[in-house]
Amino acid sequence: MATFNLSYYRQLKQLVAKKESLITTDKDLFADPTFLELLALEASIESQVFYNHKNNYFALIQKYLNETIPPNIFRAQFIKMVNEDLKKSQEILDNFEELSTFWIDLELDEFGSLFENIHETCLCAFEFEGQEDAMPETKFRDSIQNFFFKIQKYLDEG
Amino acid sequence: MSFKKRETNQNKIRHPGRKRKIIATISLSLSLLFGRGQVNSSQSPNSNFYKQTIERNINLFEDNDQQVILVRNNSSSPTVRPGLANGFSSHPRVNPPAGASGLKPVRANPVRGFSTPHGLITRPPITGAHRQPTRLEGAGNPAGAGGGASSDDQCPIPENQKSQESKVSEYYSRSKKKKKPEAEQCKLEDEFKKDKKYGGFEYKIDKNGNPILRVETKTGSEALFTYDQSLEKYYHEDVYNLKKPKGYDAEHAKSLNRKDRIEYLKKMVPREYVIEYQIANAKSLSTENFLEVPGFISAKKESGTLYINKETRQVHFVNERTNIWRTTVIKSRTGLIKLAKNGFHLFPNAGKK
Repeated sequence: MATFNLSYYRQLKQLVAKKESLITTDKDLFADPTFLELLALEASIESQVFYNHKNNYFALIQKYLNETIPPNIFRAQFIKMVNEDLKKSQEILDNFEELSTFWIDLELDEFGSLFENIHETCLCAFEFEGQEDAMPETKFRDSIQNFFFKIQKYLDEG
Repeated sequence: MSFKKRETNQNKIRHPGRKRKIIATISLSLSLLFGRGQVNSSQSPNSNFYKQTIERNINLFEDNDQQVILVRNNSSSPTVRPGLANGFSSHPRVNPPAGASGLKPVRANPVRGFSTPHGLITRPPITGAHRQPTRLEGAGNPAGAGGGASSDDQCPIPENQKSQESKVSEYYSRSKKKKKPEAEQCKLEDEFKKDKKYGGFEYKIDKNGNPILRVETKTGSEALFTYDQSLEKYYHEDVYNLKKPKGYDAEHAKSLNRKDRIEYLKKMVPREYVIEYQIANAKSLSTENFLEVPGFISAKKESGTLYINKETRQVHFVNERTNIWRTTVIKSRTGLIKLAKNGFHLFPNAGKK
């Protein structure tokens, strides 16, 4: 665990702001290593907030896998929890005072990536539900189970 | 004299092309040799021969291409129009009966590439009392009968409601002068208007009487927000902290399957709330804080534009072909990095069985 490197974050923000005025298309910005590094640094805050609430997320996933709640409700609740945590993360990022004392686990990249896979799967199933491109419920279930198993394994090994 | 014999034997089968060219070349050479730059009927008896040779060559063109007439129009170059016999000649042109020339009558092929808004004109020439109106003549009444609506009164009738006859007739009857107001009329009906009640955004009304809002983004791209799509996605209203309708439960809406959710939203969300959400979306896309990136959605790789808000991480997808907004999702930053790595392909697994 370490405190968030605020001075580096500020430096990156300034660099990206300069680069933004120089790029010709917005797509170029996503190819810029400085911009991607800034995004990754901000993502570490998000991952930490998700991790801090991991018990709530895991309980919800367990409920779905145990068929205590139907898939629609699971997806809706999961997305709602993620959106609330993203709001919380943004509040932290906007408040440099809070940010300077915020502790992050530097080893959470893998967790963040696996967590994002569950979020993406929920969003996808939610957006295309009832449409031609809808994800079959069996496939959705398998995906959630698979990512959940990987997260648990990752945390157990850590 | 072989030349004399040729001249008096008018009914002999005439082979177009080579012989005529030879005659024309010889006559031109003779003309140059004896210092006659111009063909003049008042000159020596031989001058009649030159004149007749040239006329014969011109007649050849008319005899063998009976349906191709050069028509003068407003442009500087003549227009070749098949099937329009006798259109603008100062005196009636009498076509010889078929076979009179000794040649098998040949119908000219339609000129390749000559097309109208309704396709190629392949209609045979009309020889009879009912001559088709020409470009210069018949612009006033394209309906062809008294009392019919003129083309200036309304937009063109849908294709499937027109007979082939009226299509051809309409094409011929259009003049440049009349076409302009017709186009302007249609443009006015399709134009977007502005009104404060729609957040000051440009709008037009759809077939159900609901607004379609138009947003011009920072790069000048167009995004259209339809009422129907906004109603279907109303459960995303929490993104904007909008005032919720009485009795509406967002969590309940999200927990329903799509069909039931749409029914629920139709029942529970009054029109003005949907419009408010439409306006919020339009406002969201009209800010400067967006990264505008070409991308795709679903396994079908539907092309479009992704509008990514750097601060809120809202990702809007607008269809490339229709410019209609499809959806908005909130991504995490890890999700944005992944999106960029995937070539801005939103939900690439959607639709994969």
